[in-house]
Amino acid sequence: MEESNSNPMMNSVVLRNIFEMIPISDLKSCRQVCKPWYEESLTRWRRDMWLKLQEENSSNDALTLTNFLELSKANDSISDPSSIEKGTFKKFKLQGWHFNSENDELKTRFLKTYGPVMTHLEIEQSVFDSREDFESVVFQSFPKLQSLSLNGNSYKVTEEQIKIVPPINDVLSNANKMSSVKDLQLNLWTHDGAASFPLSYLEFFANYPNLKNLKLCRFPWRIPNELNLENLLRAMLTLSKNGGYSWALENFATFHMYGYSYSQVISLLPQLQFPLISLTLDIGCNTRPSDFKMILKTYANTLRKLVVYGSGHSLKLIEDNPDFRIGVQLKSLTELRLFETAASLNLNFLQFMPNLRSLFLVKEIDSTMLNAAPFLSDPDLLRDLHNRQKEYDSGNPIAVYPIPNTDFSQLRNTVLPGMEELVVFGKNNKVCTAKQIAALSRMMPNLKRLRVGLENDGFRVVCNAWKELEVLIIQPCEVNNSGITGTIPGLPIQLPNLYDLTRLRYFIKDTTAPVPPCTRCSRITDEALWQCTRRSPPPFPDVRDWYSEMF
Amino acid sequence: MALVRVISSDGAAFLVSQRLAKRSGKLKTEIETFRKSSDNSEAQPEIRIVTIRAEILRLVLQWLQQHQNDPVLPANQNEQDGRGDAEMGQSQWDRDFLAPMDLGIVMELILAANHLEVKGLLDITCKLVESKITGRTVDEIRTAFKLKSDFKGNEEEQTRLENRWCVEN
Repeated sequence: MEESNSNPMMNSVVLRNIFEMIPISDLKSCRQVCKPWYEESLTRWRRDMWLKLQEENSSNDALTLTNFLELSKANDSISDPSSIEKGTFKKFKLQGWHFNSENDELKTRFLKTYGPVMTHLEIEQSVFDSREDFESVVFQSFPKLQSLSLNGNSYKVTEEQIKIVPPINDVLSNANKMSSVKDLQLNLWTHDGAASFPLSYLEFFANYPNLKNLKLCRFPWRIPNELNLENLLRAMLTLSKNGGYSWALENFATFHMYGYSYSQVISLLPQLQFPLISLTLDIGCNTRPSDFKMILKTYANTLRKLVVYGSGHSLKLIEDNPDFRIGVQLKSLTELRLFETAASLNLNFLQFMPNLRSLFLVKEIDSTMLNAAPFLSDPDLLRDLHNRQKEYDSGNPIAVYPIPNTDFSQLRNTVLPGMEELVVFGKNNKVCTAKQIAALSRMMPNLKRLRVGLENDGFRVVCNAWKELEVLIIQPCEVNNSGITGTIPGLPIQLPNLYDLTRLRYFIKDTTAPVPPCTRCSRITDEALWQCTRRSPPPFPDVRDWYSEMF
Repeated sequence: MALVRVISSDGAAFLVSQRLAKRSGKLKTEIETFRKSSDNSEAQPEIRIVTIRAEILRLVLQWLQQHQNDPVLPANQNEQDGRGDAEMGQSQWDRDFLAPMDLGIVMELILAANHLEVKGLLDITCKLVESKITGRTVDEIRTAFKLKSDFKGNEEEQTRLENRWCVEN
């Protein structure tokens, strides 16, 4: 046996392969098992993980720049985060740094050593003393950077200084057009409640001609004029019209937009011609239906994924037009996520999305949903939603429920053959009626993953219509044992029941623990189901055989 | 049909079609090398695999046979997130195939799949072992796989700290 050891779990080939696929939370445990496991974990650890580095110690757990440089100097392999054979960290989060023109030996050494290899960088809650400090660090120290995030930093630059925009030719000649940065994330909002930026958007974006992903956080209406979203897009437009830039943006995202209405930017978006594949839009509470529609129209031909957050207590979209149905053909769209108040829309829009495969309408997220996330598509997005919730409460929920408010008669000619996943959740959601479920099943015959509120009759329709279901989460749940087992006391008949869903891998009702799948085949066995329904096994040997004879 | 003799470390010979054998990256290279060095284009290649015993080689070939019509996955596909890949690719046949095996055999299969460059088999076998690790504490992992901590001094504490310094995204 190659590279054998008495214990195969010490074999580096075995370990390396397993560590490549294991979730990070488990990799953390694995690294603490023994030294060989720690060593084998390093390749993936240093490739995938971000190292948080503070300039000064603000808590006992934090790694400071001084400590980090000392550790990387030491030869002891276990404490050497830069030992070459296992690769070196390439993703850094710098927190609470102070960049100034004073010659700081430690910072210079760090930037010289790690700047050239760094691929991902986030600078968070840090201070730049001047525009020059910002430029020398951000534009010049990281030649291989692919991803840059500027998050809540303070820049000691006055609003007046940003207003001075040099002529476009000067901007172009000073810019680094070779930049490899593809992902850019900007959050201009600092802890003290002010927004600032060290230079004009024109000069800044001139340095990032190859952007593919742009994520903007907290660009609401109160931001100083020079820094608002409109000006940012206008700067990009100037660069494309007068500077020869051709923006190949594939993902565009806005977050935490609260009361922003987008009416100022809808005329700019079509001119920018971003070939967007994915759009994430926080529509806040003030976006008007017509503006929202215009934005979607701009990307109707290319958009495959649309994520909409409604970070407010109300939604103008619905208040102005309770029957809002988007009204734009989105033929390429396969994934749609409507979160927070945006999850209050009805499903009438489905007629415009013939190729949809996965739809989430999630107003808020609870622990059951979080636990189920790995069994659904987009677990990361659901975790993000959960983190957002911690930040602010969605508050006064709008009493509009997507399925009950859907006009299914409008959808009678709509069939979505590709639809595999439907996830609907809101704390106050009602259970769906059998009629609604029947309408859904006609529209989405090939569903594999479903989360919805059900009672007995609706549940029976689910069991009869979607035999291919692999994941079923019922919440709220008014299905009782009679519903689950398809039996009615005193009557010798068997109605459609849980045992018809032979492909089920994950099943949970309400907030009870999920039924454990078989460890060997990863499906849920009849035995496990019987235990969950707390009933003795049926008098007949196999429910399924009996049931099939009946029909 | 062009055939190839694949011989295990303990001398058992398996006669398989070259088309099937070429589903393994390693065997494909070996067959091509043989073709280049051989004058007779009709000669039957013979490949000795000195690291894999007959029982394991039979299992690999059995798996290849079952999956001979699958699209070939590039070796580096899904490096960032091998999970989805393995999960999606695992059929009922795969589950039944792995079900009777003890952990030792699975380990040998991992090594064999790695050596013979059979990505799909490597994925499902690693996934099986991974499922025995996930959700367990450090001590539970040590007990399950009969491992002992060999950290010295503050090394274990250092590792714990390092876990806290690093984040996934």
